Amino acid sequence: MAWLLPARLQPWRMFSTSRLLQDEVQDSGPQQQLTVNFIDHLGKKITVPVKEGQNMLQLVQKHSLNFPGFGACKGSLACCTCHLILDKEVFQKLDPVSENELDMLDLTCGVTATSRLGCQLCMTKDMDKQNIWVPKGVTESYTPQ
Amino acid sequence: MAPRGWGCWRWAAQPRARLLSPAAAPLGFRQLLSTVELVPHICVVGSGPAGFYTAQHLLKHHPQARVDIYEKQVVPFGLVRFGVAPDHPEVKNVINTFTQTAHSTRCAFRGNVTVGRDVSVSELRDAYHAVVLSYGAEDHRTLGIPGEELPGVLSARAFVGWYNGLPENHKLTPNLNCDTALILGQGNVALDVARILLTPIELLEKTDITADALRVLRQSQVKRVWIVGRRGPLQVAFTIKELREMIHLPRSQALLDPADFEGLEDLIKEAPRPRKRLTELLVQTALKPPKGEKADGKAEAPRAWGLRFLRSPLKVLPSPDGGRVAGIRLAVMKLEGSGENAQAVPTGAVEDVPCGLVWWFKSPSGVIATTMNDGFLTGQVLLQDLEEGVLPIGPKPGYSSIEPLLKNRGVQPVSFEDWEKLDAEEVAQGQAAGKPREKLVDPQQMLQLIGH
Repeated sequence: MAWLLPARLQPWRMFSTSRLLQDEVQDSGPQQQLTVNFIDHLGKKITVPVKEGQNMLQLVQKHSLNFPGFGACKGSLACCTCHLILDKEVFQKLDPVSENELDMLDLTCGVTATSRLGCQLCMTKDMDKQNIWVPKGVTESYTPQ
Repeated sequence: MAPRGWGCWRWAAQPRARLLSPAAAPLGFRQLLSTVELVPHICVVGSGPAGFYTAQHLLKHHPQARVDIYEKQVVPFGLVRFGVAPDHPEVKNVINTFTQTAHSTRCAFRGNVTVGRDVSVSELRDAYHAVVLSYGAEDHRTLGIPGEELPGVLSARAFVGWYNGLPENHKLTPNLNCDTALILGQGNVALDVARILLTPIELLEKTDITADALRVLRQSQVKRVWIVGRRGPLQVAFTIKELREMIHLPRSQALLDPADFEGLEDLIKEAPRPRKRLTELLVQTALKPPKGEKADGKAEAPRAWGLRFLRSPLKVLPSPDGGRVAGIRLAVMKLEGSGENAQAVPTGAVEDVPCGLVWWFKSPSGVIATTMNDGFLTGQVLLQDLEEGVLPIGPKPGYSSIEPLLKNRGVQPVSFEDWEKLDAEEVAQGQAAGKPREKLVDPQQMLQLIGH
């Protein structure tokens, strides 16, 4: 009846969980726990723990953050539904945006000078405790009478 | 960064909150159904991205809404299946999300049902609380110039449908036995058509392009494709990703007249980034061709594509025997105004361009994210109407009243489980040929496979 135990008391599941976490970050050494704040499409702030190198689309999916339609192409750089907006100071500290990502951002509705695609954006120390905005999408294009 | 969207959160959250009244919340599901009077039955016509995204929004934001998605084709997904180019498989990943939506117990796919023939809109309106029409553009406009009926003049829409396995275009089988083709229009579909015509066949063989299209393209004699626009290089409608694909197309070179692009860089300094980067890429390709080995390789390229600007079609010119297209007469235009709103007006001059094939079209527009937002928006407006009592408040029978109608009329709807059988069959057939799938193109065969 061990499967009735909470997950944290099931040794094999703990093992698989930790494996999963290790898979997600390239560096297997001890890592500092960082956090990032998503401001969702409704303006709600959601703080999630994250390690350096973690991909933002995967992070959103891992925490089931439920941003509408996020990541439609499963991170293959073929859509712009994982559009995120950073603060200028943070944006400037990141590596330059690739040509392919810029091509896709050029098709993005409401693109800003500090827009990124979540599937191409990985956590850095410069992003620690910073805000990342999810565009308003639906609510932006319709104002009730 | 300025705060964004603060004003809207309360309104957006409302539909969900209001319908599930606080008193009802602690009750069991059965009681919920009997006490909260309304289970909204919603009908969506068309299972393309607009239909599926609308359904997704409704199911997510209303705890009880039931959504039936009607589709005239046997198979779902509309233009994601029949419009997206076969060499853009990653765009089709959205099908995963649509499949999740279709798997919801409150969602049903009703394929093989043509609204307007098998069931009328008024019958649907009687059965459902709301009917969402997301069936896309059916209209086949004509080009409206003499000679358009000649063999060799093709609607790009039909051509795209043909290589993507749309049953109604199954028999198109165009004759590609000429060396120059001309496409009227400078949007992404024009580039899709040009790219499919020019891509080395061994690359297309790995896509889900139909077996028939591969057979015809293998025998294609087309070596040069002109992509013709009424306006200038600053007004092209295609986007940079698709242009870059053309520029990097193996064994094809770009034919761009440097005169069309000189001085453009000065004009776009203030343009929005997408237009600016697109124009820079055009200018760079036209005026600064790559040096060294790569350039040599390209110069010997057996195939070529080019952009022609400020040309509007006047007349399709027949071959001497009148049997097919030999060329097209184009009016030379000039621009009045500038930027996106510039208008093309005729100068009075004409130019005849020899070509054996002409494509023209009026195509759907937008990228998947545009449709997604439109779909979510439609769902949101609908939920708001429900909540405000704009839609009928009493119970509605939903599909239970449509089912007998369809049965009486000899219509056999196809379910999502049926589609999954077809999907498995397509994938299995494709595997044998080294393709992601081999699309089934004959509706009769599909219905047989699922035992209808």
